[in-house]
Amino acid sequence: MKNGWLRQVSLLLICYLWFCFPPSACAADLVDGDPQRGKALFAGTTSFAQGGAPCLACHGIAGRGMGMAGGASFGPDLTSIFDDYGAEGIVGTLDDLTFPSMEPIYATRPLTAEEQADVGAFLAKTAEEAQLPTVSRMTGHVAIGLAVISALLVVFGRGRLQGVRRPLVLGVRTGKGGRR
Amino acid sequence: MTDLILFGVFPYIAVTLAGFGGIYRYASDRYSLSSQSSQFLESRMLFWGTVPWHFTIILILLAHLLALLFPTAWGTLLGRPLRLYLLEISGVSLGLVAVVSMLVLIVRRAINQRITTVTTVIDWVLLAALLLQVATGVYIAVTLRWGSLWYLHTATPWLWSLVKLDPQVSYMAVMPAVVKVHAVNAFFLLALLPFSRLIHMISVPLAYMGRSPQVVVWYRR
Amino acid sequence: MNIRAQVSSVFHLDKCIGCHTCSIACKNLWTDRKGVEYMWWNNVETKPGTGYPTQWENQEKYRGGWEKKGDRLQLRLGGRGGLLGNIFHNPRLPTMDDYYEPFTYRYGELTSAPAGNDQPTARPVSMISGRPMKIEAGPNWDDDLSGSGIYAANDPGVLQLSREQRAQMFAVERLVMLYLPRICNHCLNAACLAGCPSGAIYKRGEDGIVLINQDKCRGWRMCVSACPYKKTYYGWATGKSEKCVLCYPRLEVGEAPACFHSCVGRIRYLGVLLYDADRIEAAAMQDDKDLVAAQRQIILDPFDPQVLAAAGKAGIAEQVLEAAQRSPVYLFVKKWQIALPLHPEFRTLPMLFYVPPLLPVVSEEHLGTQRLVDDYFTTLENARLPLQYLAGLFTGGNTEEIKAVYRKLMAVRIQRRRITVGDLSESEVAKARELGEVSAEQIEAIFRMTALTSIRQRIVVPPMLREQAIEAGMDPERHKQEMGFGSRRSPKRRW
Repeated sequence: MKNGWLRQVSLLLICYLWFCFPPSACAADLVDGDPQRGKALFAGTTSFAQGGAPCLACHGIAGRGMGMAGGASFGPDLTSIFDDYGAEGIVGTLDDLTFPSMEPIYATRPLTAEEQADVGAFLAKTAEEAQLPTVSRMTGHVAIGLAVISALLVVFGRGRLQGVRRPLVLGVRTGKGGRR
Repeated sequence: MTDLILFGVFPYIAVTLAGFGGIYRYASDRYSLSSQSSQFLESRMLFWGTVPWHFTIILILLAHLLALLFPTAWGTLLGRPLRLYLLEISGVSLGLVAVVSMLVLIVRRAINQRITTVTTVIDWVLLAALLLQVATGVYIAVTLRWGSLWYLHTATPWLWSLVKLDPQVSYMAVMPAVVKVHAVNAFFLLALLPFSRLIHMISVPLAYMGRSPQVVVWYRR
Repeated sequence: MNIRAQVSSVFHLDKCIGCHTCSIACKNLWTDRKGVEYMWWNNVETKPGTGYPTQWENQEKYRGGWEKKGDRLQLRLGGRGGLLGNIFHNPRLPTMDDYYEPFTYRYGELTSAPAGNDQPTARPVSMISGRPMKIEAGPNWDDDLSGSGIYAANDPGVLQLSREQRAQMFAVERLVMLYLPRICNHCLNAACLAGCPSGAIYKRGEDGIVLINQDKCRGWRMCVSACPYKKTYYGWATGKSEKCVLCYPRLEVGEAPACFHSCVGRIRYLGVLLYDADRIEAAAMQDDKDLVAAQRQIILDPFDPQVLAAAGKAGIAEQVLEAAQRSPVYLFVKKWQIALPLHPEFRTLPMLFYVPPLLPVVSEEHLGTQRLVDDYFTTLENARLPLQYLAGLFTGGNTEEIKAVYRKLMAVRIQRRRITVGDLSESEVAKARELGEVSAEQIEAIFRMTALTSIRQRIVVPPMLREQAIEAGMDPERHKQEMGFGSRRSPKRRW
């Protein structure tokens, strides 16, 4: 009981401090951000402190070690977002992420200032990168998966009982099977 | 309002129906707690439907369940782009096989005269719902990549909010229509469980692994 | 020693005339419902023939029964893991086409057909889909078809014979057949039971009857595949497997099972056997040729005081022990050793035994006419039914075992012939007795039990003592209502 009470007060205190000194990143921080860590955050290798979804869940991104996984397609591709938005735009966006489909996810779990800086720095670098991985290669990989499953099925299906009476009777009548 | 009904109210109705319906059926009609196999009437085509269907759908369901029950571990597993991609490709392959095998099962039931006689209306409802479920699932996996990752931050919190009796409809409200259909149909299938042959899911005979090969029952002991 | 009682039976094949009255009695009583039309819990097969379902004895195809895996027994169907892995599609399930598609005729069309130049016909229609169908097979489709190039020639027992033996069996003047009535064997080491994933099949401790709990059966159909005799059937309309129940509701009120009761040839004997349940697995592990002897060994003498004491300790009631002492099955199987189990090499220890048929009388051609041969015993090897064929059916391929049975049976005939016809000398009879290792008194006893018995001697139903299932203080009327005859709900799916 005592502990619960303490925890509530400290939570309130943290919230209060949060509102008093809201963390924010300015353009200068972008330069300071660690693009390597930004990449880890983007892909989800490192989780966001508040538990927000990694960007790669929905957003495509070219190269930068993402490989074929860069072909996410739920949201728009972010490879060259930095060129469109600029440093200012990125900062503002990463701070609140008020897009309709993102709001429920990030409203209560925003990115910390440091994370915003890191992701921003990462996006600043990807803007220089080449194209997205193509969907046609993904089709090829799915085809390989289908081939593997089909092969397993064929192996599993071998030697099953395929009917006894009909083959026997028809076989004898057509002279192909059975014995006289 | 529609969203509230679909994602905040309907799931509870479905779970209630599944729970009480299941208990009622278990208590009152244990005789029928199975899927009525039609292998005896037609075996060859059934293999190409039922075997791929069951194995793929079990793996796919398992992935959904793991992402729901162990979101952190699931997130760590998918934290490397390569692993994420491999899982997604496997998922799409399994899903496509599930769609095809369900089509095989539906066609078999429709064209074989012996089997149409042992098919009821609720069987058709169930098959249609299952086909819709796997078809939307594959469509989502293909067009709204990467579902295995965003599921963790949309469906998982939504489902947990349902468990905590504090439905957070907003997670689903912002989703594309196909995802909404997939989610609602999932609960529809749950509601269908005690009223269809889907009830056979609860009769998995795992106890067989441990029992003695011979069973002798006495009435005086 | 762990003594149990088993209600078991003997079918005397010499007396079977293949009239199928037993099958009809069973059908009328148990399997006249939708979805079970094709089930013949009791059927009578013609041997040589492919049987029901087609070639059921061919375990290369059906994988029924047990096989030895090192120092233990395993279902031929596979281990437990493999069996569960195949649960979505049974790899060894015979389909309806291996039995037959049940049919009826549109008899109404005989009278409702409009006037015309043609004779009205009743078209055959499927009892499953209700649509017109071409009849390809039916019950007893190969009845009496010995010599058939399709059916008799493809009897798995015939296929294992040598080319000469087959040619001999299929020569027109030597054609031969026997009737083989089959019901569930209520095995000691039941394979259907071991294969049931749901654990719905069980053996009743008091009488050894093997039953399927219909409320626990989930229709996985593994019992159908596992039973080497194909005596469990899948009900396509209810999704449940069903099998012979040895008419236990009749047994419990002291009546003979329907097929036994209706048997025209009086070939069926029923009685209690006592056996040692601890030795089941060891007996089932013997080599093919020793299985009959091993099974005989675990059957115990109900007159042995030690056995009686142990049986009493195991909770077998005195009335049951007394019934075991009057059991005709004990005489045939253990004392006279002239009744053999069907296909012991399936290793299920079947508890239905057959006295092999002495058909036909061994004869030879003499100046264009057939006459009895002078010496039965040297010609046994040349009998119309090759001994290998009979050994394949009844002794796991052991011809010595089957010869021993035939020598006894022939001694009975020769001694009786001397008494009734009188054309044989006493020295010939003595020689037959010596070869058959059977005494004159035993021969008379075998003769009386074979030919001159009343139903009370042939069928000794032990008291089933169901009244003891009711606990003290339980209202018998109410209990009767709950546990009594038949199902309170019709076996129908309503979901």
